[in-house]
Amino acid sequence: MKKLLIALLMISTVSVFAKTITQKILVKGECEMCKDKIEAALDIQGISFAEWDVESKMLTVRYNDKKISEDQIHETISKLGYATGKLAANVASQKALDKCCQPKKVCGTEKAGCCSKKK
Amino acid sequence: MKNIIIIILILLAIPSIAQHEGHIIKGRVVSSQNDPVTGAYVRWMDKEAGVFTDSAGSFQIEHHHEAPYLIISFASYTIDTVYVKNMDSTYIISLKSDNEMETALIIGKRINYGLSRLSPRTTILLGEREFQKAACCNLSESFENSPAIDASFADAVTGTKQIKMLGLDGFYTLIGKEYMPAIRTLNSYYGLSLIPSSWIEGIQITKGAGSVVNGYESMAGQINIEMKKPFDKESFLFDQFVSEGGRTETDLMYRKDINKYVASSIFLKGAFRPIKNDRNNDGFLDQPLSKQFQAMNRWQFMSDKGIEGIASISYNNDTKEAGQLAYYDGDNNAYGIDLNTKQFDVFAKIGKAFKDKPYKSFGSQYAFNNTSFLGTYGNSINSKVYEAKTSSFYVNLLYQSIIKNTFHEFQTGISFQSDDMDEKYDGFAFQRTEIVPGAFFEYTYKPKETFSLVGGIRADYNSIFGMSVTPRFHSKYRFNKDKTAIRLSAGMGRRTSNPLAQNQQIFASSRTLAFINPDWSLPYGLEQEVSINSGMSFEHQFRLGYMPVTLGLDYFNTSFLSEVVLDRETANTALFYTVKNGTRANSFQSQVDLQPARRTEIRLAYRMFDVQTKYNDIGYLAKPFISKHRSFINVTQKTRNDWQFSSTGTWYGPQRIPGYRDYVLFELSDDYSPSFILLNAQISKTFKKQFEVYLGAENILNYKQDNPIEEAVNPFSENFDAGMVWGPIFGRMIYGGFRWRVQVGS
Repeated sequence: MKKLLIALLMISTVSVFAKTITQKILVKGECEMCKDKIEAALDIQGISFAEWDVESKMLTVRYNDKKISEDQIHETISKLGYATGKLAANVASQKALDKCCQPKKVCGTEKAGCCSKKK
Repeated sequence: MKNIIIIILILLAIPSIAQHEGHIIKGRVVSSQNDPVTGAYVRWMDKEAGVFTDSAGSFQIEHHHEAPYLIISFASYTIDTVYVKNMDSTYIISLKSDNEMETALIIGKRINYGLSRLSPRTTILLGEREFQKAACCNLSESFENSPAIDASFADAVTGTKQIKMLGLDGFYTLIGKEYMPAIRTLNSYYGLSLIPSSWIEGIQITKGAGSVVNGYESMAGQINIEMKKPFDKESFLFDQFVSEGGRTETDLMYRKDINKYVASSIFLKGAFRPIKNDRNNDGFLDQPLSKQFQAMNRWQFMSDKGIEGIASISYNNDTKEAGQLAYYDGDNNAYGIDLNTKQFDVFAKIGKAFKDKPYKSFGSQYAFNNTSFLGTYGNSINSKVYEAKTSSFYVNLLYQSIIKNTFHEFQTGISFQSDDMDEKYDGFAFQRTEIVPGAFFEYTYKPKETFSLVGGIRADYNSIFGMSVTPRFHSKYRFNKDKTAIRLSAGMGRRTSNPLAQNQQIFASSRTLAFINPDWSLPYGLEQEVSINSGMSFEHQFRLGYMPVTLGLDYFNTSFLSEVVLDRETANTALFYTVKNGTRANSFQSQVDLQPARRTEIRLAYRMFDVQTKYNDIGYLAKPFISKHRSFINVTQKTRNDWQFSSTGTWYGPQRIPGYRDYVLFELSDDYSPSFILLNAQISKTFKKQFEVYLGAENILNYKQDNPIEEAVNPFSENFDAGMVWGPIFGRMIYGGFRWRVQVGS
């Protein structure tokens, strides 16, 4: 009985790993604030883990391909205002981003926020 | 110059791995023209140690609970103060020139568990969410999810859990409220149960010797409790808990800003256990009948001139009735226990920071405690009474500054502690007045954020025990891109033993008390306890595939030069005596924290205690009621729609039961308890970030110690003992309740 319960506990944990794909996607964000936006936007059905690295600009994402496709992930990021390796950013969303989250060529020469400091 | 606007953009910076670290506040300092300000100094108001902004104007600083004001200074800019009103780690704060403060806009998420990153000591941070995973309701019951601390019953009648750290009883750990000594002397046994979890903002657990600034009493470690403060964001709290067995607990809190400078809060608690339960049919109540009333009022103020203070006054009254069911049915021959604790506390802190010298500050701490306790064990014809009173007073004056530059920081000051203890039990009467003035100095060499060396020393004059010197040493080194940390610590600790107050499990027994080879010029005829603690810890963050993992390993040794031993190895007696070069406690712990998905956290831990205590005429034996091995797993799963599922499984290895020795054959026939598993689970759902409903079960496997009370059928016989407890008494317990929290501006 005890062992069964513990086994169940372990299985319920392991089930998190089932049917998932782990993938790296290039996302052209800029800063720590972008990181939080990207990770929050990918907190949706089908995605169990998303982490974006500021330095390498690589997103590590784990998803269930029966619930969400890779293309849908690219679209989600594009709609947020960021370009990925496959898809350009939605222009309107990109302009709506905070200055420091926009690519340098969009926010121009203004030395505001983290646009002046590209990591 | 004064019109320059400093805008601080605290950037959103919560990599998921940061959940395993402390509260790190990240930010940027920029001028009114949005140019980054390099080399600005950012620090907490009451700490001279701060950080400089880098070439991009960015900084990182660990959240500090005591005085949550960030002070920013730069040569040609006005100094500004930012009030960090919440433990959340993400802020966007904009400031105007003349100290006009604006409310922080909170976006971030809380970090609930982690090793402190910046501390030179091995310190674990527990946020409120973390101890809400445990069933209820007071601090003695809040450590079920922290492998660093063991919490278990020490007796089968009072329902109070006692903690152990590094294999040593809770009284070897300095437990303080907001860095002032709180749970000591007469309060060592019941004190933790009189701190409601709902009133706590966070806990810091330091393994090994603590800072000399807080006194000499941290022998195994230090626990600091931060209570909720009047300037906190949470403005209203109403918690209700109900459990199987008829226990109810109600907590209330209300806070209000009186004006820009002053805020006040009121806390109330009522806890009741009106129903008699005897599930193990031993004729004794499994849990006491109890009535608890607690109230606290806090005041906090801060001025524009850098003066800040907080003051609290509290009163607790706790009544417990335990013993045989027949006692409550009016049987004059039955055994009953009546306990009453009255506790009155006042404590205050006042500090001053200097605007032009941001590294410099003065602090002062004051604490007064008056506790009286009356315990009656037996019945109207035949009873033993423990009657005790204590008054203690504590003052600590601190000064912090630097030597030449911020690479060399120091804290120095003087302290004063006085304790009046008055106790009577079964023909014994003890009275003592202990006055201890002291002075301390702690130097920190911190050439960079990743490396620090701390050396501290204090000298105290004790009116009973004379002069003592207590050295402590700590160091920290982080490397491998901040992913790996090593900490070393060593230090002495000492305390005056309170053999009766801290071992109240012996009162609920027929054991005869005796003090062996006493020196009656000293309290209880016993010497002061002195120990040396040394240890190291290793922390490493890495990836298992994609998954962030934190690995923690630590080893600590506590060796007693002088120790007061409670000896229950001989039948029907409880002996106290001083032992030289006594207990040697080795503690090893390993812990792995995994985050397989955004809302899934898994914690695995194993710890080993090897604690050998030296007994007169016997020699070294394993310290009783300590599981040498314990392993632990906790899985927490949250959902997007605010459900939380948490389950914890703990395996306790065998514990030695004292007194089972065959002296005729001179054989070491020690008796060990069986090993057992405790499984707890809890489900909760939060509505609108304000109202949380929870339902849980403790001890799901319904494991019970067979006979928690020895000779329960005949409590007036010489073998009666309710203090031989190694496992759960009540069995499975279902509980539920709600927590309603209202935050300002939400």
